[in-house]
Amino acid sequence: VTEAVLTISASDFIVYLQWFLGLFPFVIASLTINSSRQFYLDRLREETQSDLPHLRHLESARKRWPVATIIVPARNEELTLYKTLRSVLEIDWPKLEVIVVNDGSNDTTAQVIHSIKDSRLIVITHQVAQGKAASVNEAIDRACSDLILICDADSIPQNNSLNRMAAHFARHDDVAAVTGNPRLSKLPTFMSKLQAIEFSSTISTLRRGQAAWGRINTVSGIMMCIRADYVKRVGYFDPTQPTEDIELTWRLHRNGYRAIYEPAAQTGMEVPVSFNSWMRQRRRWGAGLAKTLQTHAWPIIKKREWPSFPLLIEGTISVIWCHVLIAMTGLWLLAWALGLPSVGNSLLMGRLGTMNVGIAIVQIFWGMHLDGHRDANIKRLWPLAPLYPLIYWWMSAFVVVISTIPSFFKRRSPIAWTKTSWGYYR
Amino acid sequence: MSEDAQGKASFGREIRSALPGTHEHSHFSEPENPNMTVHEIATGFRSGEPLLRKRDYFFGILSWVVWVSWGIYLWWFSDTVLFEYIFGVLVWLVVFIFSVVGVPLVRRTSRNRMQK
Repeated sequence: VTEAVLTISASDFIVYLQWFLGLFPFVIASLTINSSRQFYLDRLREETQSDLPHLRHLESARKRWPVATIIVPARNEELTLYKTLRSVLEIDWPKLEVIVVNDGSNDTTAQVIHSIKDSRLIVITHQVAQGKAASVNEAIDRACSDLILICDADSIPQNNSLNRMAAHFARHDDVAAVTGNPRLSKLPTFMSKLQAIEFSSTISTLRRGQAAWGRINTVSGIMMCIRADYVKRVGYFDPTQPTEDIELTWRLHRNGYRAIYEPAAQTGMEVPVSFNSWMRQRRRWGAGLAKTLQTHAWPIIKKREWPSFPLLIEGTISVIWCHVLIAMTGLWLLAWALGLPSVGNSLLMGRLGTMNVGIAIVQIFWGMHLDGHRDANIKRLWPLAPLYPLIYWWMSAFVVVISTIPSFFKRRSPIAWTKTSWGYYR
Repeated sequence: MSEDAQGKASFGREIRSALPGTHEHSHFSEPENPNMTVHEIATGFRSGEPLLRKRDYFFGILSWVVWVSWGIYLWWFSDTVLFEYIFGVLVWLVVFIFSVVGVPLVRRTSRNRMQK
């Protein structure tokens, strides 16, 4: 056995995998930092082909869509819905219509909705839960405007967010969706603090980087603004997808529409505070990405849709990297437990590992710098920066592995809501 | 100027203006309603307590110390092959060149294909 282990550890295949493990995060982090810098520069310039709208685009959007519809799908959201509805009713737009879909709630969500007396509020009640995508699709059909802002029932959008997002629709006629910049409302636990770092270093920086390439991975469901006419044309949200927002974004890209990231449109949101609820959320995200790749990867390759290639390559290799990391570390742990010579990926960082932590910290500080223009608090989390790559990467890789494998074998069926520790988040 | 020449000029401008100290700033107003008061949203704005507790600082600072000292040990006090330093510098160099030239180039190609 010892000889076999020695042969495996010296084989070229294992060596290549180790190089892949060590280099991929470094390369992708460098690309993300540099691309997000391009996005940042685009927004400083005057008239480039960037996606920065100006005041005149907002004025034009307000004339074109004097009424905006806000959709809030909710299931068992008694703890957060009141604050969300109060916030969306304060959003700045000439005229608002707010549609709340109470999707089979069995707590006091209905009473919370009825406690708000406002003529702009329209309530759709489902006796039996139909899922978020189906609820939103129904509300889109009932909306009186093509300019629609969709907010999760635990989000607290900034009152200028619609101004920031809607201007993009007037800037380019092929924009179908705009997503905002989520900020964490509360940080009660260590898990939530690590997620706050993730939202700046990975999610918003990566989204900026992707935007610079012309394709973002997802128009985040926490707060997205859509043109309903375009979304109807591509077939609405798919109720069979675990992450209907990611899949819709890819479908919009593939049909020639643009999806935009607008970091100045901020919204407060809540995140899982415990490890178990975080696992549930991330398993859904992982499964959603896998299902989206399964749905769209081959058609993109077959039809040679080049603009989607960077997104496809980055998504696919990231998933593969997570699998390799967990497999190689598992191999190392097994060899260690059996007292065999070291093989695979050691838990103890090597030189490339220290470099990767270094570039991850650079990315975290860069993300904090970018988001810090409108969110002064994010920089105060700097002491936790090394813990993000040292702990959080492993947890994320593990959850990607356990979520992607089963999702490839699952049959497509309507997706239900998922319970978490702070209520129901979908 | 032909469309091709215009494209080349704006591509060159994109590369030049990405260099430090050469950024061009927009003079257009941001899409903001001047008659409104913006409600600030920031990380932890509903927390009602300090973002970090003492134990967060403790574990955070400890992680900095562990990473820095382990990195110094690996790169300075243990046997290092010269190739690894050269390799590290080369990777940084390729990434830097790609960020200055490659990213605008691929972006332009991508846009052209999208327009077609």
